[in-house]
Amino acid sequence: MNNIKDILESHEVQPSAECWQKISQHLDQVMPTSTEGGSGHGLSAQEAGKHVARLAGAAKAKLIVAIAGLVLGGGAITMVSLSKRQSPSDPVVPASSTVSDSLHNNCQPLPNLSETSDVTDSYPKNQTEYIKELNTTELVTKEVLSQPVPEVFPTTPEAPSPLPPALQAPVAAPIPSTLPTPVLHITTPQEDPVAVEHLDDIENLSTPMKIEIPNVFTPNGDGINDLFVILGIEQCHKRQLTVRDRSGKVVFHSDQYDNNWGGDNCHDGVYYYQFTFSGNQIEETLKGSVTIIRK
Amino acid sequence: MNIESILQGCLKNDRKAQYALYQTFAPKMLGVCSRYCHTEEEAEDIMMEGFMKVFQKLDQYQKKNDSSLYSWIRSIMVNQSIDHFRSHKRQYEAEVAIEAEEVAILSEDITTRLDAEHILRIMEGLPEKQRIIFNLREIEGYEFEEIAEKLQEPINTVRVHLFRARQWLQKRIRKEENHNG
Repeated sequence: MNNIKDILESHEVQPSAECWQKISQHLDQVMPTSTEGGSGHGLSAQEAGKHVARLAGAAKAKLIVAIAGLVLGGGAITMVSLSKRQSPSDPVVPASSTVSDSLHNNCQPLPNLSETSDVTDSYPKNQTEYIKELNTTELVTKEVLSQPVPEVFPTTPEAPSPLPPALQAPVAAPIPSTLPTPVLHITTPQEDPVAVEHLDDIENLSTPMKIEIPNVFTPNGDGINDLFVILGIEQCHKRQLTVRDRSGKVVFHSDQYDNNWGGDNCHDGVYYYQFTFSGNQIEETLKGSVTIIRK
Repeated sequence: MNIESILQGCLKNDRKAQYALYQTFAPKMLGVCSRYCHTEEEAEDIMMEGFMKVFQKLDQYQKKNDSSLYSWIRSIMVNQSIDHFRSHKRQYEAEVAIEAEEVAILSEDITTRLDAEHILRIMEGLPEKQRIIFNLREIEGYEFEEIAEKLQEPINTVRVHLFRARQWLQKRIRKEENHNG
């Protein structure tokens, strides 16, 4: 009977022949021997030729090593750091920047809350209906409503305006009973102030779909605000939610979100959501950020 | 060629000396690496990376010169294996408190008449973390503190993993031995 330690200590495995080849190719690249020419600066034509050949060999070695890494299930990170180590000693090869590049490419631009709202639908409706509808809806926010109408806002329909004509009409003149009335789709208070101010004499606004997305939740298990709850989600037929982290990696996705995401496997921090929903024949996407706080 | 002249040649970046050094240590080092890996290819990858490091950092060994070349290279291989494991973290195992009577098992040697190949094959059944901790503690002889630091785990977690690995291995080895004879 032998101790398991002694058995394993003395255990040897003969490596395959390729191993030394790969090592020596790597060595040729990072520390070329003196007979093979210098540091890479001021090469003669002959040396330059050798250098190119060496680089080709090195590239092949890198490729082989990279493939081996991939086969072994994501060894790529180690391999990238390997090729990074190789680079500085060889000025001809640009420093490997694959990791930072891909990170950069994956980055999502910060979502802009103000772009989420717009006039999304309009249909004929007479004036009384319109006002009735406006009176029966919920308050948006006083803050936004109480802002003064900007000076630049046109008061006559003839003046050039960034707004669609349909929107200008109610302010410019009494609403004709047959005028197609815009239905504003207002979802969050941060939205386009022009669209809201336009109706600033009316306190309540019609929202066909009132969706409110929180910007923070606290999944610490205390039963309070533990889930990412989108208010008004029950009115939506389609409710597709995608949440990404700051590097653009998807951390949560659901085609039929049911207010059940509790930030699983996510650290505290800022995440970006994209919520596509439909209802009332409208399909819209809201984007924004949500912060996870656990303390 | 003795080891001293090989070493001098390696320091001068002599490819032949480097090959000789590789020839001397590669089988042993592959044996070390294969204890940490599931597949031979994985072990060879780690060994190659380890030797690349050895040749590039050999001047640092010369300066330290406080341990034998063998154990210096070996520690590079072990660190390389741990790095590899850390970048491929696969599973998370919950920590469970270790019972007092179980400590006795921790100090006992595991003996067997099975050969190394056989033991390695059994060890493949261990969860990765348990296997690495078993290797580091039982074969490499690292202290618990050292292992905890290397793996960035609490010391008690390391102890629990080691205990479970030993318990499981002993059971399996007994079973194999009975089965074989």
